Amino acid sequence: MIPTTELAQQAVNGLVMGGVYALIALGLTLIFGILDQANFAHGELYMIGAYATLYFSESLGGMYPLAVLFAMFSVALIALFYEWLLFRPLRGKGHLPAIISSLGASIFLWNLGLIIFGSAPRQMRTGLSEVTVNFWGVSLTLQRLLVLVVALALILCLYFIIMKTRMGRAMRATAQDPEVAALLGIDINRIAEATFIIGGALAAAAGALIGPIFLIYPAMGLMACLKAFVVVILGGLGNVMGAVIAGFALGVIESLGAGFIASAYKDFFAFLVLILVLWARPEGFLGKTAKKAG
Amino acid sequence: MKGSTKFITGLLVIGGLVCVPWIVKNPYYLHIIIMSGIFVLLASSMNLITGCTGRLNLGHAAFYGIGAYGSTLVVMKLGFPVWFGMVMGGLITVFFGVLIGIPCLKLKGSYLAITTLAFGEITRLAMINFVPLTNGPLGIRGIPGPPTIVFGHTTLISFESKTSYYYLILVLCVLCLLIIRRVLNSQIGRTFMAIREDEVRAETVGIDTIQVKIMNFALGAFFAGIAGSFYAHYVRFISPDTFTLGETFTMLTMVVIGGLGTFYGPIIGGVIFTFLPELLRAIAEYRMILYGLMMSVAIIFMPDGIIGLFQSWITGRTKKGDKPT
Repeated sequence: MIPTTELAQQAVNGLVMGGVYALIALGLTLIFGILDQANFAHGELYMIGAYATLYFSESLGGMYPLAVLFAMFSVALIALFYEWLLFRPLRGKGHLPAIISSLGASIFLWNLGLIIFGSAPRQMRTGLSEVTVNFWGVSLTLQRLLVLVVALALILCLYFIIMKTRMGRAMRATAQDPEVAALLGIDINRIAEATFIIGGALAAAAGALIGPIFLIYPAMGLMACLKAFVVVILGGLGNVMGAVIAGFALGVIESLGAGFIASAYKDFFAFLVLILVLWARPEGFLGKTAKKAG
Repeated sequence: MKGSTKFITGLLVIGGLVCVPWIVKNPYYLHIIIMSGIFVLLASSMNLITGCTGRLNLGHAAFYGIGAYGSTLVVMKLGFPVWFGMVMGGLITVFFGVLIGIPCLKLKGSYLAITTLAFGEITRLAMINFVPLTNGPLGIRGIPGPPTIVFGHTTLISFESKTSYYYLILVLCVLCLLIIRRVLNSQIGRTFMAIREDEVRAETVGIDTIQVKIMNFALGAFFAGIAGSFYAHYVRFISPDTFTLGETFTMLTMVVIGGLGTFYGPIIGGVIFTFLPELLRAIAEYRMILYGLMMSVAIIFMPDGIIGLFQSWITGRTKKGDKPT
């Protein structure tokens, strides 16, 4: 019999990780849903977000929240360049060219990171990891709590943007039918730019939040991107709520699997889930209910 | 006339390749030439899947690795002869290729790229973690080479020198490339391209697209597996470090720069990108940066690769020549 407190502890740790997965996956699923393109360089935005936070907080003398904002802003700018350079020239030319061009960018940035930042993992200190809070026997560092709170806040923010603003409505229209949307006077290029800016900012936030908990290294984006794709597929391509739920679910599944079965096979579980889902329900678990909600 | 010119050119090229060991005496250069043969096979088989059918397979290094480990284990654990092992290496890879192909070839393009990427990582993790079978990260040493070929009492070929391996990979390359060429020029090859251009339309004219895609995947996996089993018996040491995602990216660079979906593109790409790192030893750490950059730039500005540039140059010249002055 597994003690319930330990189960709860693992589940909460999984939720923290899940929040990060959801943030990365949201950008991916938006790009998928609205522009029908796969961004294989999304993990690098997360990696750069983590490093940017590290360098900003060092140069700002440890002002972590400000550093996070700066990082989100600068990575959003990089994501905008992605759209201009890698995706716009290839829009409407099928999936393969955009995948290859973003894959090339991913390899480029990851190896550039190796040269600029060095291959040795770095640690970011915020002081929030030393303080622990307890709820009903589950202990959580402040940093982990912060990840959960900020992730949820950002997700709510995104939901508001998509559902309540004019830009959000234009995005949803583009997702449904880009040609009709263009006909009705929506500038698809502006929508694409907005989508990439939002996606970049969210990925950077994920990197900034997870940085103080785990180590930061140039190759961190690759595995994160792969996990985010798993989340996107689980939640149904282009489904925003699906990505959120699937992100938290994957975090918990991984954490429980690693805690109670074998930690060496942690990444195994993510991919196993992916292949099983593709086999059983290729449209994702939440694919039909709210398809193209984003 | 054109056919016979092509045939003679082909014979001349192969004749030239047969003479290579007499010219290149340095074993280091010969080694690079042999490795470029392996990569020509890998790039051509990847192109069969990615270029001709338009399905991006990011687990190609896993196929390469499964071929290498498959053949090695069949020979070393089960005690079968090396030649049999090499064929089995290819067939085991086909098995895994079909296994991974069935669930994800039904899906849209991006799914396959993601799933095969995950498959490649799972394979690498399996090679590292299944220690009793694969000896884990240490790899397997002392893999036997192919047996000496004896005719009567005279030794014809003994696989001791680099030269003999050179001829073996040359034979393998020529055979595999002939098969690939034959397939591409047949009805099946045209169904591959029909699927790449418009899958829905291909289905409406009666092509069983899923069956064709699985067959295409199996064929690509087979040649990658053969390349892997040759590698294992040539280098005689395999470890998970050889069959990484980076290797898949290198193969993709070869295919994209050479010419996606062309027959000669991957051959040229395979040779160039095996020699280039050796020439650029001084800036080895910038190699992957360069590859990534070239991949992005090439797919945007020259989607048909070097072959495309070459062809447009040729047609441009003949057009000029044809014009009356």
